[in-house]
Formats: sequence, C-alpha cells, structure tokens
Amino acid sequence: MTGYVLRRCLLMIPTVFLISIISFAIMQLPPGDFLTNYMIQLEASGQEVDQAMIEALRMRYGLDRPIYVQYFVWIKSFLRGDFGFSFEWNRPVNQLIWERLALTVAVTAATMLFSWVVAFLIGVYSATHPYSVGDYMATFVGFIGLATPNFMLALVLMWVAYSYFGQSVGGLFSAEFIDAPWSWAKVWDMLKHLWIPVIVIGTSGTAGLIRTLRANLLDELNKPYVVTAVAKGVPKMRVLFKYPVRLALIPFISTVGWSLPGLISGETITSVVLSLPTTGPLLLRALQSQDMYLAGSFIMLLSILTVIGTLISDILLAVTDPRIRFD
Amino acid sequence: MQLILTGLGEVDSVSKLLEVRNLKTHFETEEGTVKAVNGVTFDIHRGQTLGVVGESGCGKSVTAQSILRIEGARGKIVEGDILFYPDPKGGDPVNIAKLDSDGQEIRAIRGKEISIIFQEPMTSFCPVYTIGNQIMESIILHQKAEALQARERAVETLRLVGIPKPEERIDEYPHRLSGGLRQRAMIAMALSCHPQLLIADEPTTALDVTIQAQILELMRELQREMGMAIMLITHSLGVIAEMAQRVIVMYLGRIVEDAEVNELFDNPKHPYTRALMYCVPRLGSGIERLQPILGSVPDPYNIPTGCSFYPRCPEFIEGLCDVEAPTPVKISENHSVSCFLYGKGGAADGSGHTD
Repeated sequence: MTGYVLRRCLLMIPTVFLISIISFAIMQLPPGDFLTNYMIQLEASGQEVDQAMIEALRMRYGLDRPIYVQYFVWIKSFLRGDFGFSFEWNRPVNQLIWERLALTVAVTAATMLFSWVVAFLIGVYSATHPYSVGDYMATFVGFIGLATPNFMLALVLMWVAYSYFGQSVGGLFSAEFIDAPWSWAKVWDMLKHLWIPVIVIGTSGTAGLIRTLRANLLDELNKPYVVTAVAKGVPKMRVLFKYPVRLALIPFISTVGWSLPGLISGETITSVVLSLPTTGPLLLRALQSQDMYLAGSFIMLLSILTVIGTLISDILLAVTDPRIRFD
Repeated sequence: MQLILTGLGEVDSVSKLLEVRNLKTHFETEEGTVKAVNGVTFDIHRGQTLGVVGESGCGKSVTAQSILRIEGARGKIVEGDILFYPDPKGGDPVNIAKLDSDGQEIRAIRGKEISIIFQEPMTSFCPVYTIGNQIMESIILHQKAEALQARERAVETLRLVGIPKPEERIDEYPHRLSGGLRQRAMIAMALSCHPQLLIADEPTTALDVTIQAQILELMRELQREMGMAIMLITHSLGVIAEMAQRVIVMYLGRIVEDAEVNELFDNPKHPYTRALMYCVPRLGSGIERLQPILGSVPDPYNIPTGCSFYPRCPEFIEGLCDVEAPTPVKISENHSVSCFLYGKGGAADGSGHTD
C-alpha cells in the first residue's frame, strides 16, 4: 500500500510537468502577447504608454526570446512561487489568487459534503424501496435537479429571497465583512452565506449521485453475497450497510477526483450570478482579457488540485476495494 | 394423502429434523404468478442426506430458500408448514413458514441451526472483506464469542475443511483463493456454528470435475464427524447416487417421486425420473446415443393442466393425464410416485390404467 501511494506520488510529477506545458501553450495561443494587448488597452483609453516599463517587463519575462526559453523562465519562477503579473489588475498574480482559491476550496468542500450526505441518504432509501412513492419522488426531484441549470436556480432563489424575505443573497460575506480581516465573526458570516451557493451548486451533482448510487446499490442488492449474509442470520440493516452499500460506494469514490475540477469550473456562471469571490469568475475574466499569466497560473493550480484529487480518490478506492490494491 | 408421501419406515419425532408439509411458495411478477413451489411434502431426518433432483426451474432452490426464509421480497409462502425440530430429545417444533422473514426467531436459526452453501463460490463471498471476517461474523453473532476466540474457531473450521495454512488463509480476500478453496471456505462458514442441517444448493456445479469429487468427499466426511443432516440439491444423478440416502425428484414445483436411493435407481417409476436417467451416459451400457427428454420445461406462467409433465411424457394417457392432477401413490414401504400409471392416487391399489 505504501509502495502504491509512493509510486502514484512519483507519477504525479511527469503529469504535472505535462500539464504545465499545456497551460503554457494555452497562454500563448491568442495572437500577440499580453504586452501588445496591454499597450492597445492603454492607448485606447488615451493614456501614454511607458515604453521603458514595457521593455523592462518584456525583458523580465523574456518575451523577446524563443518560446521554449520563455517556458523555462516561466516554470522556474512558477516553481519559486512567482506566478507572474496580472495586467488586468496591475498586481502580482500571487496577491490575487490565494484568498479566492481558499474560498473556492471552502465552497467546493461544503458542496461536496452536502451532495454526499444528501445523495447517500436518498440514494440508499431509493434503492432499498424501489418503485415506492418515496423513490418516485426522489427520482422526480432528482431529474428536475439534473435538468435545471444552476444559474437558473440561483436566479430563482435570489428572486424569492429578495422579494419575499427582503434579503440579498449575493456574495459570501455581508457588506461590513468584505474587506475586513479574517476573524471568527467573518467566518461565521461566511457560513451564514454559504448555504445558498452550496444548494445552488450542489443540486445537480447531488441529483446525479442519487441516480448513480441507486443504480449501483440495486445491482449490488441482487448479488449472491447479500443472500449469503442474510442466510448467516445477520440483521437486515447490518447486512445492507456492511456489504452492498460499501460496494455501491466504489464508483462513487472514484468520481471524487474529477468532481473537484468539475465543481470549480462548473460553478463559474453561478458564481457570476451570485457574485461569489471564488476562482471561477476571475478565471473567466482573465481568459476574456487575455490576462495570460493570471489565467495560466489558475489553470496550473486547478490542474494540480485535480491531480491531487485523483490521487486521494485512488487511495480511498484502494482502501475500500481490496481487489484493486496493487501489491 | 400426505401421509403416504411421508412413508419412511423409521419415522419418529426424535429422529425427525425437518418436516415440510404441502409447501407452496409463489412469486408475484408483472407477468403473473409463478408457482415455483406448489405443494411439496417431505421430511429430513437427523444425520441423513436428502437428495433433491430435477431440471433447472423445478423449484429445488426455492424450496431450499423457503426453509431459510430467504425466498426474496417477491416470493411468498402462501400455504403449508415447515416444521423444524431443534431439540433432538423431542419438544415442540418451530413452524418456520409462519415466522417473520426478518424477525429475531428466524435469524437465530439461520447460520446456527440451518446453513446453506450456494452454487457460485465466486460470488457468494463479498469481495471486499477477508474470508476470516465473513466466517467470524457468524461465530460472533451466534456463539457470542469475542473476536479473538472467534478467530481461533474460524481457523479451526478452515483446517477442518482442508484448507492448507489456515492461519494465513484466514486473512485472504476471496478473489485470492481458487474456486475449490473458496467452496471449502464457504463450507467452513456454513459449518462454523455446527448446524443441524446443511443445505447445499448445487455445491459442485461451478467447479471442475476433480474438485467436485473432493468437495463431495469432504461433505461426507464432515457429516460423519459432525452428524448434521444434508439437503443436497443437484441436477446430477451421479452426485445423488454417491451422497444421498433418500431422494425426491421434483418437476415444476411438485415432487413426482420420493424413494430410498437404491430403490430409486433400481426401480425408477415416474416417466420423468426414468427420462432423467436415460440422459446420463453410462460406461459399458452399449448405448451410443443418449436420449434427451422431449421438449423443455414449460413456461412457468402457463403450467399445463393435469399432470404438468404430460406434454413431454412418452406414456401420456389422453383424457386423464391432461385433465386430472395425479396424487402420490405408495409403491412400497419407502417409495411413492405421483403418476396415473401406478393407479389413481389415494386408492393406492395398483390397479393400473383406469379409463
């Protein structure tokens, strides 16, 4: 097991290396470089372009050099923790992303927790009471959840909250906390705001998980080992949770890895609608304005998170299912 | 009429372990009711091996499942009794057919008094727990043993069923054992609490021939040592001949013939039993082609009227077999058959063909 984890960790290095090349390629895809874009922007707004600063930047990032040299310069500073400079914001990327990344992870983690708990309870109920009224209701709600776009749900929720309760539901913080330093009061304030994005973002994922769990569990319930356990005299509920539920969770666990990036990029539109200070909207704007170092850094970090997520889900999988342990 | 089928010479309540009376287990499906077991009566005695033989879909397995009340959510015992005599010194029987299939009483019987092993050792163990975990579960549940004690007993049982290095094998996952070893482990699990009755539902069908012989030999040995009764379900007459003392032949949810084993092989009466025997290749018999049974088992939703075997029967009597259902006729002390060729049921006078 330790060997397996170690091997997987080592395998992450070439994966991340490949991702960095692709990230860099994406940054270079639009015509021109960000400095030409920047100059055009400045000139369009009638400001004077400081040629000396442009040249200094061009030298600093080696933009006058061949692409592969540029890549090594970028990856070297990236590894040192210097993610470059955001032109849109006129600040180092470093200052922009960490808080948003942390908030994104918080929203994602809360959403996953919500999805899992709700999907687990409803999925197990649905599978053990197939074709019952409760199952049909869960199926109905599940399909609505799957079919409704998240931003639509967000708009409906905002409208209901505003027109019936006179409450504004946008953002993660109340006005007085937005620029305040972190404190317990601010965390509490965030938790009070968190439930809306969690419901909005989590609904479709939850619906999908319910359907998956129900199908898996229905399959597992018909396996001979369930009858074997019942025939040993084990009580029904204990049989259910010890045997088929654990096996039904295996495909569940293997999706943790990819639900991480899914939640981060999937919530972009919802975050825009709900004006959440997460990575989604920032990444979207960076891509629109060709703010390439910001976009590239984001893509890199999200990719690394994805690789880590996949590793975590693979380890969990190996713990749950002895058949896939490589030893 | 049921009394006739009981027809074992040594019947007495002390040796009797299980008494199944007119059992009917039906399944409700969207296409209709499947009468999987439709009026079955037989006994199992302590230490005896009862063979149950018949083609697929004859209700053999459902009969076994009914005894443990694991017939499933769609199955229902609509009639009849399953009387289980737990105390060898006599005492009141438990009517398993009337118990709540999820209740405390039946759970105390499952795995402790009556155990079952299935055809598929590959899928009968849960793949994500070690075999030790699954064997110990029974022991802890029924014998109120501590984990360490239970482990010792599980190792002991694994050794008993001939698994080499049981101290190590106990921590193996099922997929690491071969089919034969897995079936041995399955038997170990079934026997871990010393049941009085072991139901073996086609225990060797999924195994290759050499392993089959080993498993059957093992079951016989363990029966000698532990003295449990075995209900052996199979479609192989060879296995029956080797293992059983008494045989019931089932066809479409009914028992068509019930006899002591030598009597059945020397003197098969029912056309279905005889047809089954013609399908078995025999060395030195000089027969070059085997005779298959005509047709196939009918659609379970449309069981023929009268004797359900008549459409496939070479000796079918028109106007009788397709109209009336035969009842058991006692041929001799330990042999009875449900067929009009041997007289009308109940009368048991052997007057041959009427009408």
